[in-house]
Amino acid sequence: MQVVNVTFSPEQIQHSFNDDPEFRLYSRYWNGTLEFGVGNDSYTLTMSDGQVSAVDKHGFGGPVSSGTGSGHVQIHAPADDWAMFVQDPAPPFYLDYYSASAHHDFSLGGDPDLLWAYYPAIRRTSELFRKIAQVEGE
Amino acid sequence: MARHAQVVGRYLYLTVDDVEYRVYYEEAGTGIPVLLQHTAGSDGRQWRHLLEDPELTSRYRLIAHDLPFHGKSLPPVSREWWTQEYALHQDFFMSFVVSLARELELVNPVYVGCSMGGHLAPDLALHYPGEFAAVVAVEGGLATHDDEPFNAYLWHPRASNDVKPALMYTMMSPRSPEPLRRETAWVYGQGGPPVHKGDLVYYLGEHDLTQTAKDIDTSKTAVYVLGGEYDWSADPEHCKALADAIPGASFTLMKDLGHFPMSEDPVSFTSYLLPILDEVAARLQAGAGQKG
Repeated sequence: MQVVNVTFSPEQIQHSFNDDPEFRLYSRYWNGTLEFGVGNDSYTLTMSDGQVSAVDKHGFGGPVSSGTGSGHVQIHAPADDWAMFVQDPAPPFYLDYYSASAHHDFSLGGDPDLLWAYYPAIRRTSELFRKIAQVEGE
Repeated sequence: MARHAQVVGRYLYLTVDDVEYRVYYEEAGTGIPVLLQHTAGSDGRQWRHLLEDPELTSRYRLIAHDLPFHGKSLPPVSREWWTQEYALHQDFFMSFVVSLARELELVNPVYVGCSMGGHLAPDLALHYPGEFAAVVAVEGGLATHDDEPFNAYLWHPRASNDVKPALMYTMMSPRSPEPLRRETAWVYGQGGPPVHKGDLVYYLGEHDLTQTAKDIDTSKTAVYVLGGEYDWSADPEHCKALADAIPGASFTLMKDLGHFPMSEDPVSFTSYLLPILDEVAARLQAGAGQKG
């Protein structure tokens, strides 16, 4: 069985998100952290007044508990699922994080007040990730 | 010279359960009447493209209403609706649609509903047999008891009216035209704050035909089920399960469509709906010929 690896450049994440008009409209006033777990890797975005001020790539430390007030939102999936997710167009039901959690192996966690309040911005990131994903081993 | 759409909007005073509602509806076309029910948290604008399709309006009278609290159908003035949380209940929903069809004096109408309207289609066939010549359940299922984690945020002080459009956008096909997907989502930002969540009382709660779908008599009301490939809520498997549970019902998978086929890609949706309407029309014509 071939191992699939999906990676992103932290610099590209920061630039593509900050340069995207739709993401910027819906991320306004956001302060907190947004972590994307991609297999064994994590990309943690620091949100400062609606902008991505830093992207830190590190090892995935496991799922965080859900609870309001933490300021941290987490989305995670195995690399195989991310490989399906970043296809353009994505097959059913890999179009979005939530649908991919309802029907596949994505999981959404962390601070629900931020997760759902900023879902318009979070949803947009799926389309931005498809433009910058690097997939190996398909 | 001004260019007008061939769509006419009117208000109808309709009394349901002793409460009078001022109901807005739009219509276009002539022929067999087709009553069009919108989804939870939206309104009749979802059907606007079909109401302007001559292929449909040349043979069918399309009627798209706004439920009370939705679109241009305001809450009733005769009760203090602001003192309780809004909720749509099955008995009211069925009574409203049947009362509307009767008040408009529709003869052999066809009912077409999507999502919660799709769920209502088999409920109408079960509880009001023969009231409609046929019902079309678009994105309808036997039951959808999914406690989505975002439900509370459909009406939450910390969530803006951007959240519902974003979530609904995820239910549409990536192959549907983007301007129409955006338009479909836009309407969700305009609903009364508690309405979408309240409509789910019926969609996610009260609707359940798991034990009773087998009792629907399709010789009195024909049942058609349409399911969009990309609909993650009433997914194709759920839609097919509904049709499989109703003797004589049919299921058609709508390729490359999502949860809002009539508004996200009306051209593609019409290619699935029109053959159904034509089949119903042919059956009604044959029945009329036999009586004559």
